[in-house]
Amino acid sequence: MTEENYAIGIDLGTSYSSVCIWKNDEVKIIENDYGYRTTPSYVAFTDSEILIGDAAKTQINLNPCNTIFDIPRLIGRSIYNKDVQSGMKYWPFSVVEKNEKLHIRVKYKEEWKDFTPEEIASLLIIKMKETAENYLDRQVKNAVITVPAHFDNLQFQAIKNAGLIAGLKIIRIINSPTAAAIAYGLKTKAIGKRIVLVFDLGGSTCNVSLLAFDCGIFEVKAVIGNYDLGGKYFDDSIVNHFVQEIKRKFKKSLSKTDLCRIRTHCERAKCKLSTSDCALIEIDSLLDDYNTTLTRAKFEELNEDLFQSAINLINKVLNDARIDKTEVHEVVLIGGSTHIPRIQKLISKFFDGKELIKSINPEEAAARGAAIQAAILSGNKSKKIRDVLLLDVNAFAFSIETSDGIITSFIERNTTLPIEESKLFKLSTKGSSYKDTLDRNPKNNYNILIQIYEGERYYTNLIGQFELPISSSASKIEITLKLNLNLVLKVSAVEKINGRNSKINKKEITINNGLSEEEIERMVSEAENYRTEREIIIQKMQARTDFEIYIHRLDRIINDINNMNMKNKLEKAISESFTWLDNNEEAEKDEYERKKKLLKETVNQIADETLWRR
Amino acid sequence: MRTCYYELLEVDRTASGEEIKKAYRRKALEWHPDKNHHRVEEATKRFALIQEAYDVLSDPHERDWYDGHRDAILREDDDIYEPDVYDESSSRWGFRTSVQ
Repeated sequence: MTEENYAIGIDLGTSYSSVCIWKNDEVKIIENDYGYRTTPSYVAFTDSEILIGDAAKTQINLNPCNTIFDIPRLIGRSIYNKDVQSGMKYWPFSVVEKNEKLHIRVKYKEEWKDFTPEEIASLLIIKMKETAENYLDRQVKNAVITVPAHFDNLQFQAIKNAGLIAGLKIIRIINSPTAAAIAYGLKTKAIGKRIVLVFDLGGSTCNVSLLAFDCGIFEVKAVIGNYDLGGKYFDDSIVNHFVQEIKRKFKKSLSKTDLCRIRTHCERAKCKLSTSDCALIEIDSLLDDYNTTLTRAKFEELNEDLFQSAINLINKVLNDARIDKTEVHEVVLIGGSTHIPRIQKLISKFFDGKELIKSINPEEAAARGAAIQAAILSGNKSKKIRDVLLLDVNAFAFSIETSDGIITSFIERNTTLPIEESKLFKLSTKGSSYKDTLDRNPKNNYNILIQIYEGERYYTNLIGQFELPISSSASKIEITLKLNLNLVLKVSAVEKINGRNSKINKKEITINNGLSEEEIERMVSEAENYRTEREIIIQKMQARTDFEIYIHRLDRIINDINNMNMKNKLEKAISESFTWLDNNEEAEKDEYERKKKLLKETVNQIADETLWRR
Repeated sequence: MRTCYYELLEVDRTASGEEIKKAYRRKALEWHPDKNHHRVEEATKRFALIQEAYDVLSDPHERDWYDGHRDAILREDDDIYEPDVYDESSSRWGFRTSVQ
């Protein structure tokens, strides 16, 4: 492993993110500058700066419209996406369409500015990267990142671009429950073949992975995900319940800020209900200090349907993998919402009373798995991971349109990566749209249109198309889809005349619907600017703190001074400095340093004078 | 030339299901691109073949079919792959077209 290859593991969650590294044969989670092992996935824009993580989340009630969260739900999607539309109903920040792309509109430094979700995600990634860099005391260039299981090709590309903007090469993207499975598998080191189901219920997504463990090989059998499940939706149910109650009792409508505050309290109550039967909700200065209680029974009643759909997801993943629930050896729970007792009870019941595994930290497991995969991919020779291999699958099927309106599945869901699949097609001359074409065009020179879709049956999404020239309707065409481990899809087609590949009539494209290179370049340089701005602010804060520490130290020392003349003079200088600090909250770094230097000089001068006179 | 699935996995044609699985795991560790940083492209191609071989040989029905058609497949007789070769109308496809 070289310095250049070194990679970290980042779990970019909808609600929280975390970062892990592989060091001395072990996974280590890195605490952020607040000393926390997870960082809220929040970015806030203020009049003077950009706040990321804890600093952004704590000020959300004061600045709701410029505080962004839920980024994994926005990235790589259009504003018309169903999930985006439903999110827009409660996101306090505004989502707009610009140049046919989704943007987030915020007020930053008193100016309106539009950011792409990639740019916001890159700020979160930068924060995680810096957290690791501060610990390692060197630059990091690569990362493995985990995302929800239902991310499609476009969203993968968008995450990779967010990495680029943040100055990180994303060497692999893995689903969070799959990553957690690696962490779990490496920790338990059990021998023999085992089927493990990882159930991941997080802030606003529910993901399930089913794997076969065998001697260090983690073979993913099936993955599934759902956006409409998770902690946030449980909060929604509680919020709605209380909003209705408030409307009924007080006949009063609530502002977005009120709703935001109610939500914060409901979330707290929900967490409390994981360990107690009843939670008190008290909201200061809302309707004469509104307070009420929520029982666990009521919470469960409000969310029973949602809990049930989580169980349905488990059923679906087992069906996809054609594995019976009795064959599952272990069920591992991760994600904050798996703390909910009712969820645990329902899952255990589904597996006929099986004991669930809660031994791995649900908030950290995904990042740990990402760090292990990062170590493997950066060529770490550690004995612990030398024979560890993840055989991952694609979460979405790929299909092509073979006839007018007929879409034929090409690569199935849950196929082991990397995939190279070829299929031969004979061309029809009757009943199809181009019989007329041939009649009108006797030279038989025409193009056939090859359209590639992501998904199958009820869900298909056109992700690319190209035309292939054909010289004869008697030829066959061979279409090949190649999907590599980074989920880059290449599609090629070639005309086969009498069994031989045509040298002219062939084409290959790489599907890429993300940002253009120019757009990424622009965002990289803007991110660089924000980073510089942030650095300036950090240096400013440091200079101020340095000055404060110096004054406080002086303040303590002067109590021991017996010379009253000297003491008075020093006290005056100190109180002047305190006053200056109070009046100059936003001074520049140089000014703080200059003031500190001046005070130092004054102190020396006072000491010289008084000592000299003595 | 196509390589025989049994040769790819280095197992006998009489190998049991368990033997095939073991061979696949061994080959996966050897050829998966994540374990071959110095030759990713070659490994990707090779692994895809190993995966294809395993997918077929690990399924009793597919394995039967492969055993029955093995010689034709190795000769690269393309017609063998068309599932409805007897049904002319459904094995031909009418892609959307445009005149050049």
